Amino acid sequence: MNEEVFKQVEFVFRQVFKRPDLLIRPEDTATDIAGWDSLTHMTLINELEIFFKITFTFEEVTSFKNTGDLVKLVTQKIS
Amino acid sequence: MVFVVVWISLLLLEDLYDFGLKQNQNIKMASVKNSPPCTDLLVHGPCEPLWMISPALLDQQTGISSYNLALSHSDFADNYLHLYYYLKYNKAPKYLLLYVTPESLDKHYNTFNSYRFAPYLSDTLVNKVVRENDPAYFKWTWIPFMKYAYYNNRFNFDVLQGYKHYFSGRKSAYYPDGFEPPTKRAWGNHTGEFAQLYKENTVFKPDSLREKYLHKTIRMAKEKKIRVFLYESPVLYEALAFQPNRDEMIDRIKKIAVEEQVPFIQFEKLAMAKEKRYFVSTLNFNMEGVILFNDTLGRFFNSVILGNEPLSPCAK
Amino acid sequence: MAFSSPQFLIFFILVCGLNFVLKNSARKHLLLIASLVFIGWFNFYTLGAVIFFSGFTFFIAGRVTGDKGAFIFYSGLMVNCLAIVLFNYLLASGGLVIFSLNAVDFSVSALFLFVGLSFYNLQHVAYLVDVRKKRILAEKNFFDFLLISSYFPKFISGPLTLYQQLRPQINGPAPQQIILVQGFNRMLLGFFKKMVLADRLAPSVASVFDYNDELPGITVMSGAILFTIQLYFDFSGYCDMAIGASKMLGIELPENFDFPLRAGSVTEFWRKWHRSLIHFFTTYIFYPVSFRYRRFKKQAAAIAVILTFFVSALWHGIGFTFMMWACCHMVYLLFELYFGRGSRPGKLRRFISVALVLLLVSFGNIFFRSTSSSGSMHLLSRLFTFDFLPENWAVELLAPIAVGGHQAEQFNLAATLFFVFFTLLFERKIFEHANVSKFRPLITFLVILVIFVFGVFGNAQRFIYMQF
Repeated sequence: MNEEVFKQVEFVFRQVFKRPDLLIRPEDTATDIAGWDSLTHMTLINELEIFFKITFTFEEVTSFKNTGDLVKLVTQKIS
Repeated sequence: MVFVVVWISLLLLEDLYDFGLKQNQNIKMASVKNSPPCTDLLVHGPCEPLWMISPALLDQQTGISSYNLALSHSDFADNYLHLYYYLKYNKAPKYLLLYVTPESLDKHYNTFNSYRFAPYLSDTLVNKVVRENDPAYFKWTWIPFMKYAYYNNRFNFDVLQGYKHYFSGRKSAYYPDGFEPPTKRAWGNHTGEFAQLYKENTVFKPDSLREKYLHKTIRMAKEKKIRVFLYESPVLYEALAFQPNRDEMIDRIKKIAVEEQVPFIQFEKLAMAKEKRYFVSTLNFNMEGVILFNDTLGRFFNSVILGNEPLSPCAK
Repeated sequence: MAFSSPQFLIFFILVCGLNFVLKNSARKHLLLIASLVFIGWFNFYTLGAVIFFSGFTFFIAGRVTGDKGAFIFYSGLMVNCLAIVLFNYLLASGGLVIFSLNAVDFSVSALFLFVGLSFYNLQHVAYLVDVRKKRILAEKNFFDFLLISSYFPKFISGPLTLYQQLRPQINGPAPQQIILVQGFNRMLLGFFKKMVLADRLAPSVASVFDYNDELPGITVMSGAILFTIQLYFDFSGYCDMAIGASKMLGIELPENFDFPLRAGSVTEFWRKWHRSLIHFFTTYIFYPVSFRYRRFKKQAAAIAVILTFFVSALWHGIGFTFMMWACCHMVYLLFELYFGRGSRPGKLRRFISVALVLLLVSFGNIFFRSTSSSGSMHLLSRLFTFDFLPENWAVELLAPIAVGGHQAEQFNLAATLFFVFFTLLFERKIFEHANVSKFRPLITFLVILVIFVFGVFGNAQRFIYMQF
């Protein structure tokens, strides 16, 4: 797993969920992170797209299971 | 294994309930064993007589002794079994005053309250009548305790109260003469009540089972040499407009009365029927109405029935 | 055949026994026959409709992929959606109540028929979308497809299962003995919830909702809260029976409830209530919409919420009351979307938010339960008058809720409320106990006894609606 991407993803999480001290772990799922639910999911996706200048497909954003998967997906997209 | 334990426990529980319910003095089926030792007049029917005929008031006028055997929501089969049980434990009264109206011949009004007879299913007559009137209930009663489980919200409290009566040695009912005073409820929206009671100008439909048990009840009384009077208490005048075939039904009752050679007394058109202030619903009085009605009823009894007869054996 | 009926018990014991002894290859045929018998028992026309829609969906599913499939795909969706709307229209013209609420003179089989079919067609919609999007391959065997869509434990009202959840399981091995015990325990919990809790609350709820009485506000609100609790136990009890029964047949159904009455926000509530349906709406409506318009940020989610609840209202039933119910939840969710939500620390704060969510959801349910728009408006007018508190508590609050003013009725209400609060308080513990694979003779014995003494059998409400 790419440490740098992970830190950047964490930064976006902090922005979206308005919690500057938020720490994420690769095994975290939506239930582990307060405020991350279906209402905010697409906002998060959109912020990630803007930050990394990438585009996700619908199948991608509904299929990953935890933040680890998400970071992997982002890493793939930017490389 | 658990199945066997459950089965046995249910059998035991059934016995506990049987016993408890038979001790509850507030249940008429149980308390008829201790009802007034000498009764001249037995009042019977559904809630209208229950809440509208007070033996205490009536006896003041007539000087005879009466008891109110009526129970709310009951139909004729229900009345029949209660009369049967009363006669089983008591000397036959001289008169029976039985409430009959167009409503009582239509199965949409009142019902057969099978739960009242659950502890007495071992009696062959009770068993037969329950089977005929509530087959949906009867077909499960072979399962232990199911005769109580099926309508269990009717029993749990009564069983506890029964045991309380048993251990405290209580022998009389909360309402010793069987009359329950009407609830003190205000009656605001009249037409709303009519609409609920007589939807879209209710047309009464006579039911053959109801008529059959009316006949049976009258005949059972006559066999015991009881003089039977059918009667109808006042109906709120305004409500009559909602019942297009009421008169036809009254004729039907009159025909039955002629067949059985018993009088049918109509209080339907008493002047008080036009006064809303006496009613809590279209067919039931408040206490003010009850006092007035019992006075009329007492005078009627004195002049029409008792006037020509020797004083009854229970006279006070 | 309702799950708590004796006919079902006999039917189920037979099917379960046969299923246990049959060879693996024969089991799915048994389950298919059992499902068709089960559905046919309600109504012969339902069975016809089920076979027709399954055949139709099965037939077109093979042709919806690729560029040429678009037309067939959309017509398939249309047919299934129209069927749902049509059934709901028929339901609306007959009377609008979902699940068995023991309403007076209510034709239960007609009710189950339509509710069953709207679940049924929804699963077909999901199946067609998934095939079209190449998430799954179209089924090759019609009888397997028919079994998956009409499998009887979940047929009437869920849990809504997707094709891909059941497909791998229908050829699985027969359940082991411990699974049978586990399923039995779960079913017992379902019977308890349905018979001792939900059906006992039904008359209290009906006396607030069905008679247009001039009740004080607090009675209306209490009735609404009791209805929310009744609906929860009715539906989750139903699902416990479905999940338990299915487990005993060797097939795992998805969980449908996750202690929703403990949710600290309405958003959380919708993650925990009727999860299989919410999962469907999230996957097939909410995510696609909010993904497509994601550049509008929160507004995208807002549009998606509104659309999802609009569709959800239509699915539940056609009419003003369901629309109002949906509007309530739209307002709640949009408020939480824009002004924040989430669990705040501290037990007291948590308790307050849970209570608040219960109040909000119950308020919305006033519309959900009302049988007519005028009925719901009447209740609302009672809620917002100056006489919120009654003058005489015994007559205006206790008597309507206890359905009568006698000691016996108050005793029954007290017993029911005791069981309700006990179950709500120890919900998680009870759920754990219901999922153990060990047979517990004492607990089983006690639960059966409680059901016999306090549960609703037959039509015990028969007497309550008598007029005099």
